[in-house]
Amino acid sequence: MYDLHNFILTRKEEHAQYFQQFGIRGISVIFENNFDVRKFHELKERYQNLDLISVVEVVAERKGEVKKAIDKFRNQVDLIIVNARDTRAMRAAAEFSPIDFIAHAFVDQTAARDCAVNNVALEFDVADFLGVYGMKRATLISKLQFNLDLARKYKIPIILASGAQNVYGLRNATQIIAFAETLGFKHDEAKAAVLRNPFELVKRNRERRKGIEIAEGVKIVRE
Amino acid sequence: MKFKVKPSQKENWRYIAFELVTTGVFVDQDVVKAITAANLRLYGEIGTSEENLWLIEFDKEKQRGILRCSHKAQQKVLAALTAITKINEQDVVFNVRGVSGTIKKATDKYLK
Repeated sequence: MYDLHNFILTRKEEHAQYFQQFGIRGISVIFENNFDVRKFHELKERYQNLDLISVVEVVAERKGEVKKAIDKFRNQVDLIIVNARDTRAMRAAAEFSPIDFIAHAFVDQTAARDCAVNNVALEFDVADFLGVYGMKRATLISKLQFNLDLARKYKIPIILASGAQNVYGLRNATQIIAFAETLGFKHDEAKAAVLRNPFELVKRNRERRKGIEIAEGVKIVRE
Repeated sequence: MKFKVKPSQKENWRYIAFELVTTGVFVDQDVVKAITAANLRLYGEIGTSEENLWLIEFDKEKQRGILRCSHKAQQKVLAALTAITKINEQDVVFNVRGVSGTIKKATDKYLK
């Protein structure tokens, strides 16, 4: 399983020993609005049994900031994601195809259409649902179901991640799939969101950086 | 007259092997309380009744156990276990190691 929205390696590294126990093979190293190459390579040497994915999470308030981050980091990291807590940043992210996915993606109709056009995925954290109870959780679930309908309508890929800050936020793939099914995903959708989509996204971006995929859907197979 | 149940009419069980990832030490009653509360919160009384939950065993030292449920409710139970974050105000994760159709296989394959 590839967990693309997981903060353990940058915030609580001592809990990294648990990754294998939860069946995690690939893990994101998330840097907020910056990228520390040295730290990433240090972590990569320390955790050679894991596939580490460099991620820059853009936390922005203006469209310009998102654009600036794309120009700065696109060729340095595996993934660029945008935190959708600010609506303007979320709208901007949906308009830029170099963005890989929108985290905490409770988007609206317009943004969803833009996401589909620009091939930007939507990402949801399990931690968002575990941290709240009662009416708040119910509201969040209904928002997710609305987004799920949009994703089905516009064929937007969905990614499910743990969103873990420490070991207590980690969950294995079987459990995330089961939880997603309870929230309204179909079994195949949940499986794709947990297992297939994250892996393919990372693979595609790495091929692009290596120059194997030269444009959307165009790969160099043999020279 | 003895009432016979056909094999096809018998309940199909699933045995969920799990372990607790936590710094605390819990006994089986704590685990049962947490599982019941999570199920009641997520599915209510009717939903929980369909699951036929039963804690088969719980090893206090290793913090591992086997939970039985109806095969139709397997995904629901897994989701409820995912939703548990605390037992007795202490952080905890239910890590599901595997699901099996027999207790023997669940023990041999996932808890040894």
